[in-house]
Amino acid sequence: MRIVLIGCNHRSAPVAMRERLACDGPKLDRALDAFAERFPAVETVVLSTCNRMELVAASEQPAAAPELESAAAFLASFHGVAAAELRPHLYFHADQDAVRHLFEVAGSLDSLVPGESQILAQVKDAYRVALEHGLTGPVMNALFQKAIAVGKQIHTATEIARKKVSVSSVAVEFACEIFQAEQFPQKTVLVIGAGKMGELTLEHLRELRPGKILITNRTAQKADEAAARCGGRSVPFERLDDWLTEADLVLSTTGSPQPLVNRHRFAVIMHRRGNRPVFIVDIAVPRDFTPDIGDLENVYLYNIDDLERERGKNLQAREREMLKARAIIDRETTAFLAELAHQRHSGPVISQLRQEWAARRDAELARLFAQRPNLTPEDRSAIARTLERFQNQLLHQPVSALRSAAENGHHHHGLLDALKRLFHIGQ
Amino acid sequence: MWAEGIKLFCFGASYSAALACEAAGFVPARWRRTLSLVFVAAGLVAHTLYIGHRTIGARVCPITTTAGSLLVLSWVLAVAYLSIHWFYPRVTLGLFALPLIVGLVASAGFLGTESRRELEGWARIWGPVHGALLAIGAIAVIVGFVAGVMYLVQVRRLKAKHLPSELFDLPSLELLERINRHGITAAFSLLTVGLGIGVLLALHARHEGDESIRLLDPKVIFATLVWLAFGFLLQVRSRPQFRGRRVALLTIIAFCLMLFTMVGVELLMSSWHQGVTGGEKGVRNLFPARPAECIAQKVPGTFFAVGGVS
Repeated sequence: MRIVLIGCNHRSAPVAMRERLACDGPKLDRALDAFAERFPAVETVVLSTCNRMELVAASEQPAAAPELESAAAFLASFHGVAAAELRPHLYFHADQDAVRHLFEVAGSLDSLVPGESQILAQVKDAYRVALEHGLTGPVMNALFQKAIAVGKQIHTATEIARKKVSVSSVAVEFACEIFQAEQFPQKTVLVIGAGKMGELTLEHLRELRPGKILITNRTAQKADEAAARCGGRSVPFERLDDWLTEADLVLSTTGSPQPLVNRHRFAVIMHRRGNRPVFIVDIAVPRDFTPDIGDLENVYLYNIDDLERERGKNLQAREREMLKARAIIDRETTAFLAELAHQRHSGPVISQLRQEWAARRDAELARLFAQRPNLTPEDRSAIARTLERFQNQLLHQPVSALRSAAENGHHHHGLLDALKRLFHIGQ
Repeated sequence: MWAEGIKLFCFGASYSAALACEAAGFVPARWRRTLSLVFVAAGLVAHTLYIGHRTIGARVCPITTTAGSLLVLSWVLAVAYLSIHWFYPRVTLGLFALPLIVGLVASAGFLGTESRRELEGWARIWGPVHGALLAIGAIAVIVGFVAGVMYLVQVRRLKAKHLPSELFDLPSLELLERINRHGITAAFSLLTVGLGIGVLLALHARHEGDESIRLLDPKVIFATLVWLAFGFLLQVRSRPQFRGRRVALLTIIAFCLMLFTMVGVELLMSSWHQGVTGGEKGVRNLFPARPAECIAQKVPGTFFAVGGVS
């Protein structure tokens, strides 16, 4: 048996190539049908997201499973891409590596933003579509069900999803420490400056659904443009103190060579705003707010270094969580392959063993009932149940020993042979 | 009955062990809170059985004495602690609530007494109402106090520009301020009604000719000071210059004053109220084992603990 995974992701292929390989809706249906035609007797699932396109395949006959070159040729011809152009962007994993990679994808370790939860839903969707096309079999069913379970386990057993690693998301975390999440629709965000960084950070702050977004800039036209892009309202820069009085969250990103606001000016503003708490993110360099403003009561001022420092801590913490997640993946990969091997090698033998013993049991019962025709139906039923229980008890130990040997990674062919010889299976 | 074997030390020690777990640096992080919760839950079971057994055994309201009131307050706090942890498992509450619970249980053990007077007439009904309102008011004060302390810790961390860690996560400043504000409002309202009933009961008793009742009593005076403190807090909490940190600090001071009124006055000063709420200092049994052991005297009611009802 062979399991293979061929594909590309955000690290191996540029977005232009990923766009050409993307499969969604009807295109995915066509791809699955074409693949089944090109590689018959192969179980297949195609996972296609904005950051990856992966083809997972498995076959009982190793020769039937696609290899890198044949899969690359299929993908190139299906997507109308030159094989030579596509080939350098593809990676190929087989057997244990393929299983581990799929578990990493489902656990969001291979994502652009590790810990994001969307990928698990995408893995489920990919499996569902393949299932609907009848392209999954015992291996793919077991593999994807396990991958989904591993993904869930990683999300619940580790803190990987909680550690934010962008400056903007750290700013959002600080905002949530100051203001109550449910109260954000009553809050006003003021953006000073119309730079790219400001818009990026505002994107994250908008996740909190603030009630009002005000954008101000020395050049009113830039403020108008930024406001149109962000869904905010452009306000005149000359009345900055009024906007600072109104705002609860301030995001400052101007290119001003001098600070815009000093402590004295902000103390007056704080008085005007009734000492209401204010959260200021000053990511401008040079800074727009003098650092001593942060000493004022109910003012929480953070500059780019403060956010970077916390981001660094989160990165370290997430690395620790990644190690935990990888340990889970290693353990589950070994367990999955052992279980698969057990199912494949021992399954038919155990099934045959049970069938043969059931046949012998039925024959013995028939003989007994023929010799004792006066037995009541209740007696016959009780005797049949007793013999069935006895048979199950007799077979329990050898079956458990086989399963245990497979789970512990021991070579269990010796045990299988012994079982076949002892019970005359297949002879 | 086996519940008789439960001593105050059992749950006091259990809560202390929970506090030690919360504060211990050597316990692995993920076990710290689980262990703490197990100890609090075990303590709460023993605590409940202790109060239940003593209450049923003596057939008295558990807030008959100051010590009993402290035990009930600590029980309410332990229940609140577990409930909050159930709904908001990430919030670090143990380091704030557990010292308070341990302190209240220890104070109850220190104040333990058997003395209690019998209430008569109006006091039989209004005495317990007066005590119950003050006990609930005390819970509101404690809620305001815990929120105030958490607020100050959160301000300190945010000013130091640190994000919460896995084991030390507090609610937002805005939420803490809100809880503190609600605590102040509830405390003032309940203290107003509770103290008002107490004053009316005292005036009625004096009118009936009981000269032992004095309004210029240490317990009454300090209780009035607590009430004034919360009245002041209610007035200033929305003023810009008091907003946030200062209100939190003032709530802590007001809580300390309340604690002194409940425990300090009982230990250090002489009050006619002790005949009702406590009395002979240093006696260890917190509730009388049998009603007959009570010292029957006629008084109208109590401050910060309910008069006897048997």
